[in-house]
Amino acid sequence: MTATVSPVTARDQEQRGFSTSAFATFVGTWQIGLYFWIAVVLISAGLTVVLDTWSELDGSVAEGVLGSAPIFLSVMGIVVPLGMLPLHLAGGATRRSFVRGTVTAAVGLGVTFALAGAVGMLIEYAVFNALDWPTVVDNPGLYDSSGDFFAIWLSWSLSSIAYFLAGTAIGFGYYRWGGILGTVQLVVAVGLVIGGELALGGGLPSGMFGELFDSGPMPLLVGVLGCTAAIAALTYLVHRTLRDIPLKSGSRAAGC
Amino acid sequence: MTTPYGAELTDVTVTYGRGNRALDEASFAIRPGTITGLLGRNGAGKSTALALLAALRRPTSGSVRVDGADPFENAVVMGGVQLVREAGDVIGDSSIDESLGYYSELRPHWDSEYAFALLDQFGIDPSATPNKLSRGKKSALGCTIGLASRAPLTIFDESYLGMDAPSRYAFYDALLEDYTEHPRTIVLSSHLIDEVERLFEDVVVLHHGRAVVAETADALRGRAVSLVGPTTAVSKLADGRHALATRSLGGTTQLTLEGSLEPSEIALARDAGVEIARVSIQDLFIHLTQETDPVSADPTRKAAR
Repeated sequence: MTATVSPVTARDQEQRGFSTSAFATFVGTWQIGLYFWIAVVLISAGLTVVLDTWSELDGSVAEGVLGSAPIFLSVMGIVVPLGMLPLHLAGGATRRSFVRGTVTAAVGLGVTFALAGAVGMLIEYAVFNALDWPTVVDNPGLYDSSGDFFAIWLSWSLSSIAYFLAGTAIGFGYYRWGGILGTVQLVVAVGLVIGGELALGGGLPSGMFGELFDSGPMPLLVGVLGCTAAIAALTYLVHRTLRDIPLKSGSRAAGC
Repeated sequence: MTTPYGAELTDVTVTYGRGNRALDEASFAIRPGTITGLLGRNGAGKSTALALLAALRRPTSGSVRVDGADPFENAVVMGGVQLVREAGDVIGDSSIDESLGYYSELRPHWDSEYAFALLDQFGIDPSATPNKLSRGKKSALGCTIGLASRAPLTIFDESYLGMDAPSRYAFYDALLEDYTEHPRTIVLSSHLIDEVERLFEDVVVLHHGRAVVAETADALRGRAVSLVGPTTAVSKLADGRHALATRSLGGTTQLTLEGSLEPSEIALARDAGVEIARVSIQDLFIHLTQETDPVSADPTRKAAR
C-alpha cells in the first residue's frame, strides 16, 4: 500500500486548511462584530448627546467607545479559535494551517475593525467640527485628534491585531497548560499587549500606565516597530502553544 | 476514487496526567479496505487509540503509522482520516450548513449531495443549529459527516449510541451501501456489539490499554463454539474442556466451549441431539475482557458494584 497523493496535493491540503481557517475566523468574528458595532455607535451617539446636555463635552467621545474594539477582539480571540480547532482537526487539517489561518484572520480583523473605528472617528470629527465642538483625544499617541484618519487606522490596526492574538494565546494557554502555566502565559500575553500599546501611545494601557514612564508619545517609526515586535512575540506564543497541542477527548467545537 | 488507508500502532503508550496509562504498549494493525471493530470496555483506551490515528494527539512512546507515515501534522494523511467523535465536531451555535461547509472546504472527497440526502433521511434540518438537536439527531449528524467525508480511513467512535434503533439500522445500511460503492477503511468503536458485529471483517479488542485480540472476525468467532441440547449430552461433550459460559433451563443447557470441535465430536453432538452454533463476538468479548478483570473475579466486589 502506498500513499496516493502527490506532494503538490500536500501543499493544496495545507492551503485548503489555511484559507478555510482564516476565512471562517474572519467571517465568524465579523458576524458577531456587527452587533458590537451597532452597540458602540448607539452608545457613542447617546453619550455625546448626554455629555452635550450636561455641557461636559471636552473632546472625542468615539475614541473611548470605539476604542473598545480591541477589547472585543481579545474576547473573540479567546472564543473563536478555541471553538474552531476541534472542527479544523476533525476536518483533517493541520495545526500548522490553523495557526497561519488564525494569524492571517487576526491581521484582517485588526485592519478592518480599525478601519471601521477610524471611519467612525472621522464621522465624529466632521460632526463635531460642524457644531464647533472639540475633537481632541484623551491619550494622544500616534494621533491627537479624531480627524487623524490614517494615524488612527494604523494605530488601532496594530493594537487590535495584538489584542486578538493575545486572546488566542490566553485561551489556548489555559486549554493546554492548565491553571498555573496558563496564568503565566496570560501575564506574558498581557505584558506584550501593554508593551505594544505603550509603544504606540494612546489606548487604555497608555492612559493607565503612561504616567509611570512619563516618556510621552514615541516617534511614529519607533512606535510602529515596537508594537510590531509585540505582535511578532504574540504570534510566536500562539504558534508555540498550538504547534503540537493535543485535542482533549471531551473538547468540542464552539457551543457543543 | 480513493485508496483505502491501513494503520498500525506498535508498542504505543499514552500517559495522561500523573502516570495514568490510557494505552500500555498497545500494538495492532488495521488492514486497508476493511471494516474493523474496535472493542473494549470503558476506559480500555479505544478513544485514545482512535485519537492517535486521527492525529489529535501524539503517543507518549511507540509508533503510529497511517498509510505508512506518521499522521501527526502530515497534511496528506490527516486529510484522508475522518474521526467522528460521539456526535461529531461541529459548531454548536451556528447552522449545520456552516459546519458542513467547513468540512466540504477541507475534505477533498466530501460529497455534499450525499450529506444532504443523509440529513434528509435522518430528518435533520440543515438550517438548524446542532445545539438545538436531540442527542439522537446529533449522533445522526456525526454519522452523516463520517459517511459524506468519504475519507480513506473513516472512524466512528461511539458515534451512533444516541440514535434510536431504526436510525441506527438505517445508518448501518447506509454504511454498508456506501462502503461497497466507495471502498475505504472503516473503524467502528461501539458497545452495541450484537448490532454491529455483522459488519465486522476484522476485530481488535483492547483491554487495560493493550490489544488482546487483533484478527479477522471469523478467526475470532472460531475461538469458541456454542452447544445447546440435553444437559447430560452437553456435559459429556464438554468433559475436560474449558467452558466459557453455561446457561441451563430445565433439562436444556447452553454451553460455550473454548476452541473448535473435531469432526468426530460434531458427529457425536448431532447424534446426541445437540445443536452446534457459532458464538457471538459479544459473548467472546465479554469472556476476553472479564477473565482478567479483578472486579469480575472477586464476587464480593461484583456484588457491591
